[in-house]
Amino acid sequence: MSVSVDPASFRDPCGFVFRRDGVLYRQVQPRYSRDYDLLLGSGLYDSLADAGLLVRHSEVDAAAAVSPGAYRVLRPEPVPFISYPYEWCFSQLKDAALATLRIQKTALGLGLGLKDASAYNVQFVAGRPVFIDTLSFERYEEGAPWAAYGQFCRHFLAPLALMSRVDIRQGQLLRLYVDGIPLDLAARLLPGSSKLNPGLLAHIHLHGGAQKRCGDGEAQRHAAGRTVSRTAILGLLDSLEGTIRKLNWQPEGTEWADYYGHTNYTDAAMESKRRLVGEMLDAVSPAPRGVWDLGANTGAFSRVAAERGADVVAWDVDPAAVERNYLECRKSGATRILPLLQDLTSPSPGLGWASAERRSLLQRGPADVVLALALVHHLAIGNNVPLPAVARFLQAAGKWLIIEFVPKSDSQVQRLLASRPDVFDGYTREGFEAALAPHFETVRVADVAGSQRSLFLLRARPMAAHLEDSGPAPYLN
Amino acid sequence: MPIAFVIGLLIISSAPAHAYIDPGSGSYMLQIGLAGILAALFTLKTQWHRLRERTAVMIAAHSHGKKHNQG
Repeated sequence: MSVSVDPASFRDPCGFVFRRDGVLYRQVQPRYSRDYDLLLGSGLYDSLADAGLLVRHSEVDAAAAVSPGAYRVLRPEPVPFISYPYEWCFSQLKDAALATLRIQKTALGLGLGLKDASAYNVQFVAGRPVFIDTLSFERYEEGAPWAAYGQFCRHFLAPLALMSRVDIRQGQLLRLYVDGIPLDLAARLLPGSSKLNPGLLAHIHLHGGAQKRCGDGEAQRHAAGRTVSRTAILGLLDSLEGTIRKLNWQPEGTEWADYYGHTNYTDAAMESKRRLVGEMLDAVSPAPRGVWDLGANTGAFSRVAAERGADVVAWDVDPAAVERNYLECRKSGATRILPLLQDLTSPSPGLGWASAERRSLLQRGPADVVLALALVHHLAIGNNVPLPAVARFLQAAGKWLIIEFVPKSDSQVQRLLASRPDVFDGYTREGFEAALAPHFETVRVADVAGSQRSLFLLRARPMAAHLEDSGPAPYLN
Repeated sequence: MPIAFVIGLLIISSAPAHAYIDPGSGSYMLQIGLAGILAALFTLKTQWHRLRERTAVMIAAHSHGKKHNQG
């Protein structure tokens, strides 16, 4: 029997999350009893859960608790895949922000409020943002300011404003600042014209300035006897919502946004590839439940896996591709696809306290199946990653692999080589198969009709075998 | 309305600077400073929406009655 407390669940003394035999539980401590009873008794839990805004849970026997004296032990409904705000596209962060504000407004109406507004408390389940921290609610005290206002601005408003007004890539600052982008930094990075927007002026520029100016004792002396009415809090939420709704980003002009318009695939070749990917997925046993589509672009092949009932994470390095995929999934109701941002040449690392609060990409695997379609040439030639190193990474990422080999003669590879010397002597079909052989056994190989490309269905060898032969990565040339 | 809002904010923000940083205190003080404006704007907006809704209902009822009388 194994029990482990989640390394991200240590700040709030009201409770924590743990796993027992692989099942996720949440222990509620006695100090949270009053707020927990109010969450349920006020109807807030039902209201939010019915609206799909809060993760549902069931109460289980307190004997399941990790430590004695637990008030309750909850078993939340599982979230298929944990993602982080620095992996979300613009619209995902915006939707998560608006969901958080809606939750806070609903809570205020029933006499509670959010005591924290961390973006990490939101996860995407079936394509929608869902709040997962059941213990974030507390009784609303009349006259008290919103305690989570600063955190909300750091986690949501500041990155959204920077992505919208400066550069979409500034969302990656969330990877550096795990408790959100400092508001004085956001104020310095935003253009001067942002001060003409009342919401950005108040919630970022003045807010950042106020945080710098107010010392501990000074703030308490000024605040003595002064309160913030419920109407003012509703006004604050309304102002935040209006500001965020007006922040937009149009995905255009990035490298990959029009990729499918620039591929060398004929319609027949695309259809052949789609059919082969489907057949290979059908050949995997047991049927895959979790699929990672690496380099998914706008998710054409993610859909092939999702149609077969798998939950697919559609990773791509391009914010425009992820944005388009998310908007398309939202529009079409493709609930099994989760588009996320990922640079495979520098994948999400372990972050936060002890580098363990936010898990690395590979720590969240392995997936049942990894799709690596039209990817390997970008890693091996575009980024000089040796093929054996690519193979080792993919072995750690998934139990099965469907991978496409794109030969040097392919026009897409020629495009990559057009502006650089060809130092990739080992980039051949034989070199590709030799690099994969120590890590995978080949189940099927098929040529994509109407192209020079081939698809491989491979089963990963046990990792122990991989560890035994993992020496320094031999360069291909 | 936005101009009054901005002027109000600028007046409030002219507090003396202090070297000691406490991010929580700043957020707390800003809310106290903005509370009056936020409450007033929210109340105005709510009343305005109510007025528009009532007017729309009255216009709809009036045009419905007109059609009824004509028919």
